Amino acid sequence: MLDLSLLQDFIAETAEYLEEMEDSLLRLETDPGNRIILDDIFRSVHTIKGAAEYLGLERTAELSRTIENMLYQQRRSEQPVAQETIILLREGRERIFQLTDNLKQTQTEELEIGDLVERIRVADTTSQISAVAGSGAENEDFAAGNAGASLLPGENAAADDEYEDDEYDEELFAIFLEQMGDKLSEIKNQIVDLAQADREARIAGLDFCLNEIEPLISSANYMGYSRLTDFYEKWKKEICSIREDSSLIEDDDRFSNFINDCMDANITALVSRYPQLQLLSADAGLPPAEPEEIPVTPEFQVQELPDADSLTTDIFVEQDDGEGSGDILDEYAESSDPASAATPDGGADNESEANLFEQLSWSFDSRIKQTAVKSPEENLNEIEAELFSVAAADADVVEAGSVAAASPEATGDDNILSGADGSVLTDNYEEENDAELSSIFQEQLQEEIGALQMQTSALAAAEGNRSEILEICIEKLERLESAANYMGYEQLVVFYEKWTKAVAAARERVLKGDDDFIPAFITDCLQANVAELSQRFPQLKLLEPESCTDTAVAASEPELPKAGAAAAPDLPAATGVADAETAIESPPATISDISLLPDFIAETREHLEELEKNLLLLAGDSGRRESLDDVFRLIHTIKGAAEYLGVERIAKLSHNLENLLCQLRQQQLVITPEITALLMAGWDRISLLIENLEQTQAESAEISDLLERIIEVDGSSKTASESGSSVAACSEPESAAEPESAAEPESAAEPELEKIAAALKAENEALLKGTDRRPAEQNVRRQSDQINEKIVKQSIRVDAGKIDALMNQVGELVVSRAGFSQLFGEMQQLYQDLKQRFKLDPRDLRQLTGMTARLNEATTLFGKVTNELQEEVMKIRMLPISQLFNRYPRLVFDLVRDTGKKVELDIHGEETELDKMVIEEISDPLIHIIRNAVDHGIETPADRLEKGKPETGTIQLKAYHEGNHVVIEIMDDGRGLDLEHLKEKALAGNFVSLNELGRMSNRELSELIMLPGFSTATAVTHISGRGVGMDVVRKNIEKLNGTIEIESIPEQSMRFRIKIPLTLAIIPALRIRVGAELFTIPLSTVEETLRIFPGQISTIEGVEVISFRGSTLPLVYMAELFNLEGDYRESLPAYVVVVSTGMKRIGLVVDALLRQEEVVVKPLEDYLQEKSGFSGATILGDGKISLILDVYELINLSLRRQEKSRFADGVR
Amino acid sequence: MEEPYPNAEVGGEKSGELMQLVGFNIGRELFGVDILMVQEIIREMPFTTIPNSPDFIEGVINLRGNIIPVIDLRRRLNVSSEKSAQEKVWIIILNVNNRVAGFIVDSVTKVLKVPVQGIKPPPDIVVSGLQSQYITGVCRVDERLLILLDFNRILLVDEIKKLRGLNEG
Repeated sequence: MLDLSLLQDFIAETAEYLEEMEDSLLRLETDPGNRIILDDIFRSVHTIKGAAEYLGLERTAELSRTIENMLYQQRRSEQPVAQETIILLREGRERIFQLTDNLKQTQTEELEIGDLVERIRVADTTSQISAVAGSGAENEDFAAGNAGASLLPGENAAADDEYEDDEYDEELFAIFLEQMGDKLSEIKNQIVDLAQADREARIAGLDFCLNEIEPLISSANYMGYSRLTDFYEKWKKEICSIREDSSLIEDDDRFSNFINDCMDANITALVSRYPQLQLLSADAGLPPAEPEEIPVTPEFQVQELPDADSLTTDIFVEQDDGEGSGDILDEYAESSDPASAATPDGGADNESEANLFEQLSWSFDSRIKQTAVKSPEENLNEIEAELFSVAAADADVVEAGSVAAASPEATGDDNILSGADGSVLTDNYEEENDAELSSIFQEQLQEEIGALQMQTSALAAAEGNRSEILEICIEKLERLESAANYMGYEQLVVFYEKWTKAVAAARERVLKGDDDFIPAFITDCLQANVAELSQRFPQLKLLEPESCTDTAVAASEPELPKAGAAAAPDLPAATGVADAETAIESPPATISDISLLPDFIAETREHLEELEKNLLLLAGDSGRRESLDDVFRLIHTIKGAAEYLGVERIAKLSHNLENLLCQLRQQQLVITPEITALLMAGWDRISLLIENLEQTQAESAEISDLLERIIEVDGSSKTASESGSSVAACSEPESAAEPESAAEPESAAEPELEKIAAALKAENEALLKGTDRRPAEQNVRRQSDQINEKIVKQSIRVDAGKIDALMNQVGELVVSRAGFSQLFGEMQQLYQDLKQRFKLDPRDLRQLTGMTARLNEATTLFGKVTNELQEEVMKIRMLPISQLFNRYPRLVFDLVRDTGKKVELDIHGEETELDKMVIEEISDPLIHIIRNAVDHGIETPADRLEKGKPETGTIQLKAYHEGNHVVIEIMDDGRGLDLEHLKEKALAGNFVSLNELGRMSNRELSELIMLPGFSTATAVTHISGRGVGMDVVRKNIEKLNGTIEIESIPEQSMRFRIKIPLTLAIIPALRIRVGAELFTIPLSTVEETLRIFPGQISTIEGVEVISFRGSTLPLVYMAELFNLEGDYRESLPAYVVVVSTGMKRIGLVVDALLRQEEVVVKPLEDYLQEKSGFSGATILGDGKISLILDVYELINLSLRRQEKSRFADGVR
Repeated sequence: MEEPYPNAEVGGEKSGELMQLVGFNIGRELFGVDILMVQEIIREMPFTTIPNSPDFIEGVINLRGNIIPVIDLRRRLNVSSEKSAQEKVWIIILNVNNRVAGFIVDSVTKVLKVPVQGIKPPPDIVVSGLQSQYITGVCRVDERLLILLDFNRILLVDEIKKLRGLNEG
């Protein structure tokens, strides 16, 4: 659909601009008053917008447009940029960035922007309002009145939430509309050119149109709009038939007739049916015969009249189907334009079936044509005549309307209101939404119009560059148009469009140096239009440059109904979308793109991690708005991604959670432990589902139970909030809607409105005061957030395999470095040889000397670089241990919840870095230890108080570096180990003899709990009971070449000290030789090396032992163990390497100890490694391989051997 | 490489699908493996033996920094022909489902093109002491029987472990 090469360029370019923008944003943060920076940002956004629009990237375009608007406001205002605005900008930038990322990966824009756009819009208007409020006291009334619920951030969120509930649908529908708008504009553009093109081009153009219609058909089909599909199909057929008919194509007149009859008419029909539709380049739709369109302002106003009329028609029609439910869209289509039912049969016989809408739109075109070209054609005249009659009637109506009182429209209004009331009853939610929407809409309208007026006065005063001012006007109008479009006020859109065109034309003229017409233009076009608007929306209090503000508020009555009725057009859209939603939800859980799944899983994991943190914050400090917002945002992100991928359950669950959070944010719900628990449960379930997905690519965990619970809580809150009325309630959409819809149309609305406005203002002020303090702390937090975001952005997700491969190559380099050293050694040897054996003169050898020296130098340099490289690559694998530690607060939270204990987890040194593999490996052991500490270590609050300890127990998690190792300490201030009981248990279980026990230190006693099979059953519950599974903990840690120590002070504390190597990839090791083979022993397991003499060895039960530091040390002959030819028996004194794995300790008898060095560990094939006594291999300097001993297995292996031989002895 | 073999009897143009094989000899037998599995073919190089490993695992070699196990096919398959007189043997490095291993063979032929239809299922009878479970098929090449080996099966971890268990027991 998109041109890929262009897209690539776009992505690259946008990335550049975004980078610039990021830069500027940072500067702006420190210097918020700096206009130049602001201009820079504006430029970047503007460029992105342009490019995105050109490429048809709707979301990027829309988002950047919104940001641009906000920036524009900012530029105009004198005040420094507010922190909130910067945050919004940053978020916007981030979103665009993500969208581009989407594009890069999938060529589509996946990310939703609705929420952000809305936030920006709201914030935009809010800031403007506060700006206005600050500058002119008079406007304050209005600001308070109209800004209504949107003044406060929290309430912004409320408005925001409304959309998010519905966002899915709207999203879809909006996309549909946007696509339709684009395509139609394309077609329109095309047919304009066609009129003048030659035959070939015409055919090509028709082909193009066909191509454009094709996707329209499919999308209409997708949305389930069968009538629309039919309509398109017919249209397509018509074009086809024309295309075949070559005579027609050649005939200019007939062809243009065709274009008018079929193409234009169809497009118009579509536009009128979908009022939200915005033809991007509608002005291009005008025949090119009028290059310079002269705005004829008096007419212009007349043109608006029919507009108003059709709006009322719209309203009537809406009222008709007001009660209708179900497939309202279809009904809407049917009822809203009885005449446009003609559209399905298309332009076959267009004239006879021309309906009001078409006529009207038609009349605009022709009128403009006429006035612009000033050479009236006959047929146009006819139409015009027709139109005039229509328009005359219209004018009556509108005039009557604007004069207010007993006009036909006013009576219509009554009906409308009753209709609207009906819909309030039947469909509360929709109505709410609309009222909320329209209040926002009006705010924006107010602001924009105000701005426009300011521009107008500037224009009149001929300040600054006129073309620039006009450009600004155009921008304003575009914004208004898009807002109207969004609201579905079709006529208003058309109105704006015309207006924009007029201003654009004026600008053209100004650019050409023609300034004379400006005053006339101002009064005729700009002011007249503003007046028109303000008449239509009497709630608007406009900054009238020359007149008092009050005049605009003249007739308010007819407008009220309009506000109410304006809500109605939204209904079809919303329900249509609801249909689409069900259509989309119903397909079975098929995940749309498996290949995206891993990314989704990884990303969601990240989100979950963050989410967990925030949930805990939320649980700890229930008032924290920021955590709530973060939680909301994260859930929302997860939801979005899940929906995109069709991961149904996660999407559903997160959607429900989101709803719940919504309530919380709107303060309809208070955060209670139950709710936190519920959120946690939701978190758990999502994690579970993610796990499911990872393993089976399908979601197997059920969510219905949880959903029920959430809905239960959610639902109860709703009823509760409905009955309650408070300050918070006023922020709710329903209540905001009430004053407006409840306002009686007949009564003088003005005082009413003012009353409401005053009330709202008072409340808002009160609320504003309350929130004033917040921004400061928010900023602090946000800034740290931003830093985080930056870090995230600068990191690359790399496949671990690639890093391993790199590591491998570096290891190779390390090996060849050793090779070079060896070479250098040999060279030196050669030199010595030559000198001594051949008695060569040192002078003759000079060359060789020089060479050797240079080789030495090169080798040293090479070694240095290699070392650094190795270090850097190692660092890549290093991750902060916070990855691990962050999981534990939740663990503790869960554990504590069940026990009623009070425990605080104190984390230190989470920035300590550790090899990723190690982190994964120690996760479980740590969980085990922490669980033990909570379950058995920390006493109940009552017990603790009795013992004189603080009520809340503390578990301290600490990580720090110690040489090449990382030490992790877990300490609790609980009751520690009951050593006496331990002794009993050890004796009873026959783990140690009484004699041994007597000699054991406290630490040794503590370490008994890590003996495999050391059971603390039954007694566990009432004594400390540690030891369940502690042997597993030890085993895991030892696998990592780590060690674990236990230190317990009874009744005071318990401390585990785990020491693990930084990495598993490179370890310090001892090289030994057995026979001809070289082996490597990890230094972490080596306790000591000894030399033994024959006399020291004694034999106990067939096993050779020596006495070592007061205990017996069994000897294992490596050569025997590995069936190698060794010279061990003969060459006593032999070397013994004492290796240990915690409790077990043996002496390995080897032939020679070579040296200690750092070795790169390479894995062995699993079938070689498992239970073989080797944990890997390493490559020596000369390329030979040396196996690395797995001491743990080795000890087991030797023990098995000994047992076997003992058994054999016994048999014998 | 020492013994040039002409292409398989069917020209291939008619039968369409051809399978490219690397042929190798162990004793008097001719074996084949899909060329796509072959990573490289190297001359014999020193290996490091692994104590207590099954006897068919010759050891490990250092192939440009990767440690690769080398399996003596003759022993692994119990091919009952005597070791060839040649001093130097070849090691075929195969990538079997991303597991790389070297296999010691006596000599290697040039690439053989065999029509897919020409490959017949393995005979039930034992071919020179070779169990049919390791054979995916046989085909005729120049009046000789070429045996296509199932290296997946040969590298089956469980089987290797079991064999090691037998060794130890």
